[in-house]
Amino acid sequence: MSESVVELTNVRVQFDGGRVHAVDTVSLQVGRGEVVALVGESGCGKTTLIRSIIGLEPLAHGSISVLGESVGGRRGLRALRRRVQMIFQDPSGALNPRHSIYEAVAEGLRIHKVKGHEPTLVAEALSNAGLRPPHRYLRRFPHELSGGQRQRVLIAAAMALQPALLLADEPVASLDASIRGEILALMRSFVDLHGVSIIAVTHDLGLAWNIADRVAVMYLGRIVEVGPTEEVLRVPKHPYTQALLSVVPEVEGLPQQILTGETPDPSRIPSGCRFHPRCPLVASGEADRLGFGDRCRGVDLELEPEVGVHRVACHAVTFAAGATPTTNASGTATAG
Amino acid sequence: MSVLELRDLHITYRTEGGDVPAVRGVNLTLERGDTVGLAGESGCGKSTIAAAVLRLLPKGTNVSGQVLLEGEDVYAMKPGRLRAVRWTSAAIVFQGALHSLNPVRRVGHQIAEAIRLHAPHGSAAHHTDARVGELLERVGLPAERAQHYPHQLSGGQRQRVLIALALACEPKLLIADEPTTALDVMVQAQVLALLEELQRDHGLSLLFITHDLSVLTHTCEKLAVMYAGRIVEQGPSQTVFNSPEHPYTRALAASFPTIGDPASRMNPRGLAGDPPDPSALPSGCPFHIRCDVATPECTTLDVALRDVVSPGAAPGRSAACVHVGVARV
Repeated sequence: MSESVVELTNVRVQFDGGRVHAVDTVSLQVGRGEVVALVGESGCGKTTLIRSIIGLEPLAHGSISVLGESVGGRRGLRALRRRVQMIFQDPSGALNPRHSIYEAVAEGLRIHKVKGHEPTLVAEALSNAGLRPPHRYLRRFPHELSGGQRQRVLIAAAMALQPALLLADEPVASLDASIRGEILALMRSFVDLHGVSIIAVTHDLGLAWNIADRVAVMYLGRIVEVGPTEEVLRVPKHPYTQALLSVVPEVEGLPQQILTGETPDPSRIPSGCRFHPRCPLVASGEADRLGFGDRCRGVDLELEPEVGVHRVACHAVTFAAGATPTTNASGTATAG
Repeated sequence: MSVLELRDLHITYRTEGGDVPAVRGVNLTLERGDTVGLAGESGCGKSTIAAAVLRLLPKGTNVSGQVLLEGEDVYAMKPGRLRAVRWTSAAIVFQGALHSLNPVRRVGHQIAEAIRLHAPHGSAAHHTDARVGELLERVGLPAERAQHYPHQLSGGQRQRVLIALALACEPKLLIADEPTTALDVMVQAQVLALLEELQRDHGLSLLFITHDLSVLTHTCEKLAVMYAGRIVEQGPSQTVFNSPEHPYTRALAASFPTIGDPASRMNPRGLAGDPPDPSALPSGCPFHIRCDVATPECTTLDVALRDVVSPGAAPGRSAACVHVGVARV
């Protein structure tokens, strides 16, 4: 196992004086050169979680360290933000409309006092992000570029600082489907060539399949399933992950399981397993038939202890594992 | 009689920078109960078509060709007739549910307004109220939601209100322009299921417009793919998506990864380059600049949509590419 670039331990983030539990006890490690997709519905806390990694949200509990250094007080925030860069969903909103593309990339270099010949660094960054030849873009303004090109500018600005970790919040959601693949390929190339790590927040499971080594599924502030992408997306264990996958048009052969109701409210987290009010196993009575329905309704649970790389927080899974003394063989499917 | 027929539709926006041809010769027919998906990237003209059906384009926009709603030319209608046709013959659901609703009016009031203004025979207030409740229930919302303001509803609920609003006068044709784009996956699935149900139970014709080819394939029977103001491929949606003929459709379909498919694992695919600027289209086939099978003749020759005649091609397919149906690449 490679060293961790970022390590979150029992992180809790609360809003509104502790009434809203946006992130509720999350632990996650991301290794060097690893891409983790953080998936879930709006309001599940995925964006809050990555904001806490760059010190934008104070922690109510737990700790975060980046390259072994703790993220916390104001001290060292600038140094942290050079190592951790962020790209956002809407590239138009993230660029200053009155700054040229040159300025957009150079600003970060100046703030972080990066050594070297500035024009060369800017040109290199643009070129690496696929804006070639760079001199054609330097003097242009954001409104003269397409959405895909603007997102490339933001990626160039972020990567110019040679971060160890890139936090990407829905990096392609605002782009045309045809453009998404190119941007994702670009992000993946930075991982393969420069060893940057990425946490990509998304509701798009196709993105995870395209570029992520691991997937973490969040529900109401907590990770409910995490593991290698092939396992989580091919053999999902949590009923929530199964439902999410069943409504993706790109997955064939799964019977659609549309959860009713809106995305739940983090200020009113249900008792027991927080997913139980929407869980098909509970609604169908199957949980009761098999004898763990009361646990679903009454006992809160976290991810099962680390026995394998694929972990899940679900009473049905724990129950099945308890009923059969041997640990169930993981259904690893070999690609080929 | 067809519910909607577009005949050689051309639409040109007049701007300060000159004329912008957004739609360049589109033919499309929807029969009763048809579900047709119109796909393409930003700027391909798909939303312009949506607006054109009900004459909602900006003043001064040049429209030629014909838009026939149940055989009647929309652009030959007198204002009174046009008002009667909007909402009763065809209605539109737009993308931004928040911006399409008046923030300072209760949603029930907004639905009632549509009924009062467009229903063929004005109806009494208590009838209207009952109808509003019925419409809300039909889209899966409790009737009490009529008393709510838009900000009190979630994104999915607002989209449902817009669908209820569109259904207010029992239109025969529903045009949905990116109705689920801003929604979460699960809520998107809910709204799509609702549209399918309404379409099935009420024999509604549906023209569904989005860039999301995978959603269209799931929801619509037929698919028309647009590029630079024209339909470049048309046919039954499953076959168009799974075995595209036009190189553009092929690239577009490939940008939707199949989860579980080893070929797309760690292999994001898309289409190089950007959608063309409608005011400065390339010569010949407008796609040739981004096309991976373009030959020199593509830079000068622009082929119209024609039936696919290659062996094994499913019936009802057509494509606008010089390489399709002649010599497969």
